[in-house]
Amino acid sequence: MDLLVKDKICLVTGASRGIGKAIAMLLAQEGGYVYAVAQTTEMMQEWISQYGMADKIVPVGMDISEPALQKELIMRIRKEKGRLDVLVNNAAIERNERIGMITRQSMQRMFEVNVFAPVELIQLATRLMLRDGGSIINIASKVALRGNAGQMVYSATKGALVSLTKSAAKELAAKKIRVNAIAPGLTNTRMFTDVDPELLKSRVQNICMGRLAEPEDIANAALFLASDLSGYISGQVLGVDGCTIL
Amino acid sequence: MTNLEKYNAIFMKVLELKPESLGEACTVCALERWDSMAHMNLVYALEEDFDVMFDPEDILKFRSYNEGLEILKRYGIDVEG
Repeated sequence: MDLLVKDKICLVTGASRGIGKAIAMLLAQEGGYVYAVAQTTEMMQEWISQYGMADKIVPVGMDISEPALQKELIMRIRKEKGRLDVLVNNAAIERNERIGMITRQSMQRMFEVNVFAPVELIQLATRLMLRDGGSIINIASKVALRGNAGQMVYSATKGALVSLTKSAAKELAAKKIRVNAIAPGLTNTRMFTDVDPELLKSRVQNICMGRLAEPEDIANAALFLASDLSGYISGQVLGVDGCTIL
Repeated sequence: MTNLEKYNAIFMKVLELKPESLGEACTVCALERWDSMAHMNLVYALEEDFDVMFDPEDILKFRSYNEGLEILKRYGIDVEG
């Protein structure tokens, strides 16, 4: 079988670890050339070297919420590659705060990274997708649709990401640019290493498949949406949650 | 092709104009064809041909042939020579 994103130019944000890292690696393994973005490059350089992917993945260290740096990145991609085929908006800040403990500053920062940055990157990336089309994948969350105690602002940002996905899809379809979101359920990333085992067990009991998602599960979904296999799919939110009940 | 010829060619192609229609009278208000879709097509074509990237504020300010010249000048592109 042919590589699923052969020769596609891809941009993945929040690629240091976890879901972003898994997506960047899989896109590269499947033939893509990946600009992997994170605040700093140290972690990315380590795993890129470990997996021998230096010819397929370019680590870029920057604050993804800075408009001037976003523009610089997109202009760099245009100069080096002439186009962009896949944008994965994965970078996000998740802060759990009870109502009454939410500050304006915290809200502002979450919206800057989780919503404003994806909007701004979509605006810029579409310039490089006009000639050949493209696929934009926004990593949302199950809490976008269901909410969660202690995550009012975080869930609001992911809800915004879902809405903008659907609107952008309608506006960009005529230009052959597809826009979809993935809503991961509980995923086995660094944040679960310190969780109380009993609490974790009770959460897993709500997952029909009986386990947390692995980052690779989310990456597989992203690969599908990045590839031509999903060529007639746009404006959708793909739940990847092992059939979670609650 | 000079920068001015490139600039004019973009306007003529996107807005389906004749050369004599270019100039001061060529504005968003005066031209029915200059709608939001044509506007973005103009921006995209100018960005590609002149290797620049408009800031969102400039996309909003770009409302006439002359304003486009001013914006490109700010990006270091001297169209009129």
